[in-house]
Amino acid sequence: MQMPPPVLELRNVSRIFAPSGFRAVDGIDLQVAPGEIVSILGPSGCGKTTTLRMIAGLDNPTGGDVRIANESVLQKPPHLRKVGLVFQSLAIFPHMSVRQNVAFGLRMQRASTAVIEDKVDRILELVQLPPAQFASRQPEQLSGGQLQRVALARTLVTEPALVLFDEPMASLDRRLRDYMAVELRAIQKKLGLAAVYVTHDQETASAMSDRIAIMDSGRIVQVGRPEDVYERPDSRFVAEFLGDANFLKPQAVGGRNGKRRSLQLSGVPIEADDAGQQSNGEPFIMFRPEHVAIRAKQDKGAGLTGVLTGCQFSGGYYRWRVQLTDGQFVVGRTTADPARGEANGGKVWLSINPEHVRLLRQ
Amino acid sequence: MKSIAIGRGGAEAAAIKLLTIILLLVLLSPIVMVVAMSFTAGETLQFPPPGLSLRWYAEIWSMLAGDDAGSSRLGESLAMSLVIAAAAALTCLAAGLPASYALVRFRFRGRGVIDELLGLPVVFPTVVLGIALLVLVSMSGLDLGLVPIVVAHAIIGLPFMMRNIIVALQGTDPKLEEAARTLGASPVRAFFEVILPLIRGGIASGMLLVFILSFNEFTLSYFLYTIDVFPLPIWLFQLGNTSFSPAIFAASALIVFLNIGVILLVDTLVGNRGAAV
Amino acid sequence: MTSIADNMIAADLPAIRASPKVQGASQWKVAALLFPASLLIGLLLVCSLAVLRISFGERHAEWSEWSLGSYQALLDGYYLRILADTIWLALLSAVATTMLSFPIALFMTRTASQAARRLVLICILLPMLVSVLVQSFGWMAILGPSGFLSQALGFLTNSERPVSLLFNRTGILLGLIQTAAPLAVLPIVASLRTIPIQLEEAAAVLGASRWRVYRHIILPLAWPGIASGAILVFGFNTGAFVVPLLLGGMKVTTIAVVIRDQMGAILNWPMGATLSLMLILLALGVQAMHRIIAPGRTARRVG
Repeated sequence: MQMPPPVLELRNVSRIFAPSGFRAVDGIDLQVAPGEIVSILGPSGCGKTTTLRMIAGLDNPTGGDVRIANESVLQKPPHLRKVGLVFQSLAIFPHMSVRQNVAFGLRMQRASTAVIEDKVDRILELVQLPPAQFASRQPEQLSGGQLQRVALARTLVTEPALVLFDEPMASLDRRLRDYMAVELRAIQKKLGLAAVYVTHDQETASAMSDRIAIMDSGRIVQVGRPEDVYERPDSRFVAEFLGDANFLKPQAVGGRNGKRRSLQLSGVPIEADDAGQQSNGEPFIMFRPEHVAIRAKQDKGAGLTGVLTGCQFSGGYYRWRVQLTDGQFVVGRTTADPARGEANGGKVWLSINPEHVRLLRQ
Repeated sequence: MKSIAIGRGGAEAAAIKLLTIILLLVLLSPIVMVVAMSFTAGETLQFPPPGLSLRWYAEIWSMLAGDDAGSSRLGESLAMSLVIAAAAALTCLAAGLPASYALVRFRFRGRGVIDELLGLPVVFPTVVLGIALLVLVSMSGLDLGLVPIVVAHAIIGLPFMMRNIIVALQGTDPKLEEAARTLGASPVRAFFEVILPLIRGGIASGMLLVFILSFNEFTLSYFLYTIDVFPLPIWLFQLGNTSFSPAIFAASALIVFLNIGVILLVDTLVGNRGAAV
Repeated sequence: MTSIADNMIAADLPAIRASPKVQGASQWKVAALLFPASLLIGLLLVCSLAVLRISFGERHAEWSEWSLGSYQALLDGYYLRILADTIWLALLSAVATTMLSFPIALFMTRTASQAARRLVLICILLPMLVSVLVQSFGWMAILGPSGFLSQALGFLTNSERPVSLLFNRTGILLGLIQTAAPLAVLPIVASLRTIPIQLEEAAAVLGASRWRVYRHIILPLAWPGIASGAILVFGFNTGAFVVPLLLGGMKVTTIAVVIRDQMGAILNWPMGATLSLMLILLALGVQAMHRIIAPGRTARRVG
């Protein structure tokens, strides 16, 4: 069976701003398959919004090609691209009612009044803004979450081939954002939409997307399923951007067995996956805090020893810090209190799940 | 602010307030005097008026619609002034709207220079503009008429029109236009569907300002009027030259009322917009 | 606070916020958008060039012959005196207007009542917006021999002799000050608004009297606004035409009135054009000075 062609394909796309020569986007490749949400995740200024604007046609690449449904769209102005965009500021037309906002795109397509009426009603139901109650409201009568839904409905109602999201939930508070993310994901699945979701918030990105593309300084540095990117980052930047991580220096790096490397940490042999970076930089190992177990007594498999130097309860789990015998610190996260009964400063034994240790280079 | 600032209360504040009231009375005195003298019962500008009456308004009314309507040409001049003011406002809109849009939305080379040039009509001496236009028209062999006077008024009105539109445009999010574009609107459609409705207030106040400036403009009209294009200020000036009677003040008072009405209208338009910010 | 004043006065367009679009729009599109406005502004430039050409022309052969005659005449004294006189009147009016505007500006900045501020603002704008011709008629009624001022002065000094300020410099000056007042008040308000009250309080805590607070804190900080207002009034009044025409009679004239006479009755176009050129140069000089001094403008432009 043949793979369907990607909905969106970026080929070596660049955007260099004159006159400074600043490379906002520096040769990126990305594909979005039908029914797939890909998040572009990165710190502000990494070029993710510029990328989105180039896909929508609001900005033009200085190099490369943007292809939608296997066809280059570089020559097409935004209104002919059939790409929906949900803006960060939402850009709800303030002088139009909810119905008029949502109907706008259909009106531009010269749909008949009856069709517009029908489609608007249905999409408003879908985003849980019952038309009887909301259709005639003005934007200033809506809450932030409701405006969000209007923006979504307005974009979806035109049935775009591809929907772009430019951090539309950045202004919502955490709880509402999580709720909307779940809901948006459900709608996307239901309609089988292909989408690109730009954000700097890794939790939203993980929750929302089939794949995440991490962007840094105009380049995509890693693409993959959220779990994979989280567990197996290819660089320190990715590891740090996606959450808490321990970065430790091994004493020695031994031989290779496939992707596995054996090495020594604080005098104890452990194994790690080699990320295979093309760098001659100093090697270090990386693992997430939740992959370290801590014991108050010696146990088999728990070879690393250290001293508990700090522990705090942070809602649902304990965050603690241990200084290894070689002086390096390990941060861990457990649901049980590691200090149970013992005062800080007590000797502890650690075991790191070898599946989750990565060998990276500076 | 609830707290009373050091030294700002009491005597100092009262003195400033009193001074302000006195100064405002002086500033408004000519306008007040025009209105006051328009109600005089006397034949001259004797102050205080010997009595109050509406006789001079009656005289103006007879010039406008009564027996003297034919000979006085007041109605004709009024109509001409209204036509010129409306035409000047429309001209300013046609020239100012696209230019304001370009200045607000685009960065381009020479924008600073164009910005400066567009401010030029404010400082340019109107006498010189009027005379130079007169000379140019006569040199080109054309006849004076409605067009030169409208163009002259439009030139000095343009910066005021553009100020209003630019302020309004700056209050609209460029993202709204982009949203319209991604929803399938062409650039022109996006402007008319989204931007234009949002800057209506600015356009209206700009047009009203230009209208009132043109309606009141004396200097330019003084050089460019003809027998057929004879605006109200010129009519009033000539009346003042022939017989300086309180009738002039009745006509002037009517102009003052019209002016104040338009100013209050603009203030409401702009004030509402300001309150929303 | 947006107000009608913001859209009305000040000699320049509002500073234009840098557009978020870094991408240069196609030059043709921008040119097309600017085209209608540039026709109007272009005509203004053509007018200036015509004035320049005629000023070097021969009387009655303004477009064909060249002559420096009117410039020589300018230096002869009569015109220079009127030029100096006009500038002097404008200068006096600028100083007086600025001084009188200061208390009003203080009131507008300090009053806690929105309604009062708005009322004062409209009162301030009326002299600017109501027909100057009509207001000059009002001044004639005030200043005339049987007018309000004459009667009031007669009553106060108990003299029967009517005093007329009409057709002399005092009358013109009054008219110039009154019609230009808004130009001074608004920039001063703008700069007073930028002075945080904490500065006054700090000075007071440090032992400064009210007089010293004004002298050392408020005046220096409001200075850009004061200077900007004075320059605007000066520029506005160098070209004054209606006020001197009506309140000056034949006795006191200004450059603008003389230009009218030269172009009209006397039919000496080159002389009129030369004087016009002087007015244009004055206006450009004023604009340049305002650029340098105007508060906030350059800052806003950058921001």
